[in-house]
Amino acid sequence: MNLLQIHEPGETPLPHASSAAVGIDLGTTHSVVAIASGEMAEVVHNIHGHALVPSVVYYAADGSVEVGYPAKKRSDQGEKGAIASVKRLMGRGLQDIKSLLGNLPYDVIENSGGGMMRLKVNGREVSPVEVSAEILKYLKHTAEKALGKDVTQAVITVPAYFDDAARAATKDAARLAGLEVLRLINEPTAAALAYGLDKGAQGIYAIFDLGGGTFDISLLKLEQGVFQVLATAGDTMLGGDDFDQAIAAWLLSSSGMAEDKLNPGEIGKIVALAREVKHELSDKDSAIIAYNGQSLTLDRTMFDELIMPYIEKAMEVCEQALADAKLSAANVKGVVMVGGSTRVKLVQERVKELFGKTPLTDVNPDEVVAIGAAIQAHGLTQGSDNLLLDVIPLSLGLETMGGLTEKVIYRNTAIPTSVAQEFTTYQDGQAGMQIHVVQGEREMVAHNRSLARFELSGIPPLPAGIARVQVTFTVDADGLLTVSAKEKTSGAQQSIHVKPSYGLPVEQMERMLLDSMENARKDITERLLVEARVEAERNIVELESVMKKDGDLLEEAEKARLNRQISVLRNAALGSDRDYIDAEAQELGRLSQNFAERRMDRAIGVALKGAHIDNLETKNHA
Amino acid sequence: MADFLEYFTLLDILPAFDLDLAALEESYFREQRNNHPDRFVNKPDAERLEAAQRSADINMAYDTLKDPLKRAQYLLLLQGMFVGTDRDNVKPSQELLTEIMELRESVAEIKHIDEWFALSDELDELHGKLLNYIDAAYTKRQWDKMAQLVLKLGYVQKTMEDLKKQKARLGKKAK
Repeated sequence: MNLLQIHEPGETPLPHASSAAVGIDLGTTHSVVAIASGEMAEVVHNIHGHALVPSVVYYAADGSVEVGYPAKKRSDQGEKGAIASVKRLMGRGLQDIKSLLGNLPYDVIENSGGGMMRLKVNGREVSPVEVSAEILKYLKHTAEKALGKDVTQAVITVPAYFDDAARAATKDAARLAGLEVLRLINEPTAAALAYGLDKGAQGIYAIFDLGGGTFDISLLKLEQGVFQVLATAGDTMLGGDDFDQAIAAWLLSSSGMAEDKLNPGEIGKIVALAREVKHELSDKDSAIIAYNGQSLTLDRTMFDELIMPYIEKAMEVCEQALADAKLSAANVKGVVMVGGSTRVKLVQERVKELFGKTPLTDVNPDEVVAIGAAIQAHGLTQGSDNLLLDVIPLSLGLETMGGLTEKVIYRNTAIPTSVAQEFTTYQDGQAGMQIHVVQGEREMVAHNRSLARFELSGIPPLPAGIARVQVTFTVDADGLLTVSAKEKTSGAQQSIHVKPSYGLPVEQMERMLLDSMENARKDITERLLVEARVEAERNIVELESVMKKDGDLLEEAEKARLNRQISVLRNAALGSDRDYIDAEAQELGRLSQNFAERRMDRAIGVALKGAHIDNLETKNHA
Repeated sequence: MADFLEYFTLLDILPAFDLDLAALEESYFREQRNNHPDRFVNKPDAERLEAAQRSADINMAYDTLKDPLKRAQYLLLLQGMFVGTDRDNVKPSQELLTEIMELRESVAEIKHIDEWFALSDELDELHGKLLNYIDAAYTKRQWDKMAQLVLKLGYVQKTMEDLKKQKARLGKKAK
């Protein structure tokens, strides 16, 4: 059509590339997608102009899926089938989330194959990986719409403190969404990249990242394009959602309500109300809340008291990171605040106290992570002078006799890394060896996270203590672990199959991929049809409006012909034949071309004549 | 996996105990710029894996060489002497064991924060001296002497860590 060229907000077309690489911040409460060209990056806005997409997915009873604001609305109203904060469940088994149980508006069930739990929503079962994949698909589509080209590759951010299982689950989700993961990078590192390049920072910086559900602190050395992580620490079960829960509990007790008398819908509404109160208290010293026919006042002192335990927990984690990096707070040149929850005043005050300097809040804490990811995506695909040197957040080890953990790779070791450890047999003629890989800092295996178990077989029959088995741990640049083993005396390499304790079994992953490919075909056809309809309607509305305005340029016969074609196109748009709609839209464009040219001539004529001073004055008076 | 002979070569510096840490870091950054997996995203699999292994080796080399104790242990390893590993072939002398035992006792017996500071200063001084002795022994290629000194450095560092934990306890008592 040659009537109007409409650009989507945030459109940044890249020339000479048929597909693009984006940066995605897959957050607990919100997700953001950004795109970079050169060292400049910007977030992509969806058709409603929002950059922040609520990380909420709604599964309707009829099988359709909603993502973002519509799903969040349902979640806030406590509707069954809406899944929020799924990031907290990534790579986790039922045992890990016991504390969350009861607060979730859906049923959680054990995976029959072991490992990650599944969620029961509106008559179907989904895994956290599938839910995350829906969010990623939505972001992919949003970016594709804005860019006008395919998006096939992405850098996705994860909390620095995510363990191996959660990282692997995130990568699986991306594959399901049809995205090749160029690299998983840590959220604080992404923030540092965006911040350092933006502000030209040099020296040691702390990135304090308090999101909806996770907390991370990273200490980085920034130096001439090198972003070196010195230490990272965090808590994957600590965030702004906890503040909401604390306020909600206060609301309930202050209004004399008992939580167990409420249905999930009512609880959802109270938590949503609590969130509003929290936002209000970021600007004001007290908030007045109308709830259940009562008027309640929550002031800063009381609010601070409610959230203090969570913030003190975060402060302890900061001290640990400093100790790990062998630094004191005085060595830190600046503290960059990331994540929406850093808007809470008490958080800013306590950070200032600990580090002795006012935290930096001049980058948008909601967008900086996605921007950093986009810069990295651009750097990885187009080349860059920057270098990110990251670390592994949690130690990796093996179970030894008596259920003890023997660390093989210590936390805060730079990645990629590869470490070999030798083991021997303890019985004469022992032919096999159980290997149990765990992650965590605790002494007892039972307190750490079980990552994988496998049996090394085929050890040649030798007296106890003679066979030498070398087990090699390799952690790649995404922070993901692979384990291999070989028996050294016989020289025979043993290829081993690692069955991840919390990852997806291979068959399950394949089935989900097949499902998603079938759905993807359906999704694309549907999307193209909707786009054709929207496009047709937009053209009709635009044409009708200019026909009213400049109708005198048209002869009656021309007008009739255009009106006839408008109704033909309207009819076509009612059907579901996309090619037919497109053809009739093209015909309308051809018929109106002459009209458009005449309008253009007139517009130029008016412009050349110029406006009279009288006219301008009259306008001003009007 | 890098053979343990390669760390200095990997970072392109000459073997020594007394290293310029700023220069070491510069070498580390330079080598990672050339070998980090981020530089090989669009390269063929074989090339990518090779670079990832090199990058891991460079990380290991830097991690070892930047720390005086690990660096000293590594220099001894190059002489076939295992110190601070699970298959040590160097044993501490009786004299050293006695000295360390006395040191640990004085840490355990601290009652007052003033004693803590005095001992902390004493250990810092001893630590600095040991580094100088180790450098001298390395330069003169006195391997047995160096091995004993490196063992002592390990014990002293362990004692310093224990002392740090003590401070938290003393601090809490004071309150």
